[in-house]
Parts: sequence; C-alpha cells; structure tokens
Amino acid sequence: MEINVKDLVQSFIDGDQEAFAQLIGRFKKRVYSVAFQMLGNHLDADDVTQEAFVRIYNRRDQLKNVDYFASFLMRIATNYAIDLIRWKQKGFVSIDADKDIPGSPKIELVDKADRPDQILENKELLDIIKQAIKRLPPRQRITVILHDLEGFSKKEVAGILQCPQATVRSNLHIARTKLRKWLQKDDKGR
Amino acid sequence: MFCRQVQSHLDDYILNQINKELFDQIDNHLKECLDCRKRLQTNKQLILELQSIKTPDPGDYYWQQIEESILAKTLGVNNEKAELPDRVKAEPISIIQRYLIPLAASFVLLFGAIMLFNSIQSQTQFSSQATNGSSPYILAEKSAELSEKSDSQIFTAIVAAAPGSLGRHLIFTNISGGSR
Repeated sequence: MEINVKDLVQSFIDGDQEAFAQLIGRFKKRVYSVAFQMLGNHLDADDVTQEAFVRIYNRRDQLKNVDYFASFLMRIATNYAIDLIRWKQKGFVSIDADKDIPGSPKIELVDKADRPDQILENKELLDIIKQAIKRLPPRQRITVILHDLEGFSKKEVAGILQCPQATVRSNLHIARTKLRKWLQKDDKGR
Repeated sequence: MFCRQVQSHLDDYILNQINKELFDQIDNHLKECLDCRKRLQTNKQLILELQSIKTPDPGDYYWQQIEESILAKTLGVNNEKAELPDRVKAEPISIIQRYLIPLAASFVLLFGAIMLFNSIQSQTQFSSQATNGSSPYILAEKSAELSEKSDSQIFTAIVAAAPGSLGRHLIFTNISGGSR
C-alpha cells in the first residue's frame, strides 16, 4: 500500500531517510520539469533539481506544516532557478550553454498535425514561443511556466511564489499580453 | 458588458476558471462581438501552445542517478557529523611519524654513542694500568673479572656512566675494582 505524502513528509521531518528517498521519487520529475522550462537546458535543470532537494533536506526543521512540503520544495527550486537566470543574464554563462552537447534533451513538440509541413510549422511556432518566454522577466516567466505549462492553480502558484493571487493573475495577464504581442510581430515579420 | 471587461477575463474564460454568471455574460457578449471572438481565438491559440510544451523525459537511468546523487549528498552530510573526518583520523599516524620516530632514532644514536665512549674509556683504563706497571697476567685477570659481571650490571653502568652523570665515577670504580 502506498504511503500518502503527508505521512512521508512527517516521517522525513522526524529524520526518516527512507521517507526522504520516497519523496525524491515522487517529486523529482515535477521539479525537473519546472526547472527545465525555466532554464531551457538539461544541465541547469539537473543542477536545480538536486540543489532543491539538498536544500529542503537541510531546512527540514523549518517545515512546520506537512501540507506545505510541495510548495516549499517548488519555492526553493524556482528561487534557485531565478537566481541562475539572473546570474546568466549578467553574462557569466550563456543560457544555451549546452546547445551543442550531444544527447542534450530538447523541448519536443506534441504532434497535432500529421502532415510534415504542419509538423514543421508547429515546431517553428513552439521554438518562437520558447524564445518569447525566455524574454519575459523571471517572475512573469515562472508564473507562466507554473500556471500554463505545468498546470499549477493560481492558488498553488501564489503559495510557491509567496505572493497574493491577485499578483499571480496580474503577472499572468501581463506575460500573456507580451507573448501575444511578440508572437504577432514575429508572425507579421515572417 | 464592455469589450475591455470581457477581454480582461478571456484567459479565465478559456480555462474555465470563472464563475457561471460571469461565464454566461462573456458567452453572450462573444456571440455578438466579432473583435472579441477574434481575440478569443488568439488567446486560445497561445494558451494551447503553452500547454503543449512538454519537458522531455531524460530516461530511467537519469532518474535513478539523480536520486542516488541527492541521497549521497544529503546522507554524506550526516556521515560527516557522525564520524571523524579522514584528516582527523590520520592525525595519530602523523604524530608518530613527526615526533616519536625521530625521538627513538635520537635515543638509539645517543645510546650507541655512550656505548662507544665507554668502550674507548675502558680500553684507555686498561692500557693506563698496564703502563703503570701491571703485568699482562693482572690485566687478563681484570678483564675476566669484568666479563663475569652480569649484563644488567653492565647496562646499568653504561647508562649511569653517561658523561656528566654523578654515578659515573662510583660505578666505574666498582666495576674496575676501585683502581680508578
């Protein structure tokens, strides 16, 4: 029988290593996915995922309420990812540093069209959207990624980013408006 | 409802994240407003495209590796707390290497030097007795007498007879039969 997350978190807080291993197993894909969408490459996503779990392990005594484990973990991951983005924007490392690394995973298109020309068109469109997302400021970018790409609710996003829901709503509205504007410009340019 | 109001709620309308009353109002407005319908299509396309972006799965091997790596990092912290670091464990060996071995070597050298010194002194003593008129027979007798003394007595004598020692004179006198 599968142990529920709350019990696992409580055991983890009490110092149970096995519970921590199980929590890693349950949350690693979600953390990696958010990190990958934020940073756009495997190496940074891997770095963020590992760091998020190591940090939550070291701060487990700060977890007063077992219900907040997921949002606490995602908050650590997104804050670290935002730090990495800002660090890279200052010019330390290229955001596409692993572009030429063989085997580096890329964002793939979910095929909606059967015809090769439609597939190609969709692929191009997704590349443009990815580039447009990267142009967003970090807070707006993470809001769009958490809500629109990863499917978190506005309440959950507010919990992760520690801001009111109204701010999440506002950031989403501004980010989508910018994306639409950029995509329309790009469409006219093509 | 005005177009501006409708457009501010269009994304929530698409995602069905608004109450039924507001949903119906927007629905009615869209039936009559071509601009808002166009806007609805644009917004819908963007949201669908955003939702279609998927993260590729790096594979089971990676998931296993990352889990092991995280556990190694976190459990490694605990192990450091529980056990002494290698540097500290190695310290007794370095103390032996640094202090005890040179000390032992110094002691052996000192002991050897003392033995050599005593041996030379004994020879000098016998030769001095010989030059003072003792016959070869008497010298041989003294030598035999000295060899009859037990090893422990000789050892004690050697150690106590180190240069500068107070007992040197007395012990040597005793061994050599008070001739000194």
